[in-house]
Amino acid sequence: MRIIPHFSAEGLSNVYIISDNKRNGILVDPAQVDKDTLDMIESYCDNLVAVLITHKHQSHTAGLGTLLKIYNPTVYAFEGIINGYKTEQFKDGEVKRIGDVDVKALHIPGHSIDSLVYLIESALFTGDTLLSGSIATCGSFVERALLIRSIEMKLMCLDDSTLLYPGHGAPSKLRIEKMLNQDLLQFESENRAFTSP
Amino acid sequence: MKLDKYFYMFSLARCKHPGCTSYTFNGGDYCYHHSPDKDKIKRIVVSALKNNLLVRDFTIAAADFRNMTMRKGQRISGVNFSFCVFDNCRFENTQLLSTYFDFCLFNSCSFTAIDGRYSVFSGSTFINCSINDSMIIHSNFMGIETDSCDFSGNDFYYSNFSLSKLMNTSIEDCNLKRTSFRSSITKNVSFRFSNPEEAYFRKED
Repeated sequence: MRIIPHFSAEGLSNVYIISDNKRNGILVDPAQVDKDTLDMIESYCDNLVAVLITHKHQSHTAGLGTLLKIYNPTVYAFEGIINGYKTEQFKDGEVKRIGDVDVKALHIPGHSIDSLVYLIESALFTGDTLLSGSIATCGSFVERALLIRSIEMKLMCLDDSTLLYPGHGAPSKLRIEKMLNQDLLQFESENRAFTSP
Repeated sequence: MKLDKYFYMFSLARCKHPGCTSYTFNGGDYCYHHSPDKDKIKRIVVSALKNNLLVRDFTIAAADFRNMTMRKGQRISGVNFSFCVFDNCRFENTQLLSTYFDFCLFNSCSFTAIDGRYSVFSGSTFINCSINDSMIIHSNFMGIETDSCDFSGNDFYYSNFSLSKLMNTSIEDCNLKRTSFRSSITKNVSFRFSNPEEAYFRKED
């Protein structure tokens, strides 16, 4: 399996193309479909079989319409419709066989109610949920607490060497985030201060 | 930015040694550490780094590389060097794509004219090292420690140095647009001719 990151100037997002051992292509978050994106799909994949949407914000989905005019992949998301296109829905913890890989979806609400993180082998595609050094922005303290709780319950239990491919910024590993993610460290310290006698 | 068709990826298969969760060397049964012939693997990797134009698709964790000059114009792609030690090593005109150097120790190493993208150096220590005239963008330097280093003349666009400890380090004439230095500690660090005003230093930025 190969994972090819591509920086989209639209929303400063990362688009990922996953090419499995049979050269089936999976695209994560079609933020922008430009010539480079198409060149990468053509270079690394024989057949684009799926699009995974981490959440419905435009900085991660704006290129979906263009992509669907060219290819015929199945679109996977938490919600049933993205930008007017029907999707195949993922539930929390559900595993689907896509191409030659198993894709597991983890529902991590907080940044948006439909935020999914996809686990493929040992690679996590986190969208805006967990970034290198920070977590997503949230609309309220409640959503932030929900987000952190979900991250701790569903992501931090994974192996330290799990690779992290966020929707924005540099890649990382879970070990690095456990040690150095400022938002998680701050929440932990606040929580400790709040609960200690 | 030019399209790059050389992104590779090390195998994510896990070592079969009981209790070991490390990635295997190149998709086989064991990681480097539990391989029955560690020396042979090390020789293969050293030879590849010295001679090959394309080095790709393997994991070698906690190995040491000393007094090496990597082949000029080399492309290293999809390689995992976590916890390795690089002592007196030279990388020149090297392309680093999706390469992981997390928690490494670099001592007296030089990186010149590097084209680095989507690579990870987090948690590493750099002592008496230089990174010059390079483009290392979208890369993760979170939590690094530096001492007596020269990181001048580089493009660090969208790279992340947050929570790092930078001592006696020159970051002059660098592009720091969208570069994060949040919660980093700097002592005797020079940003002369760089654009720190476009970087992020506070959490609120």
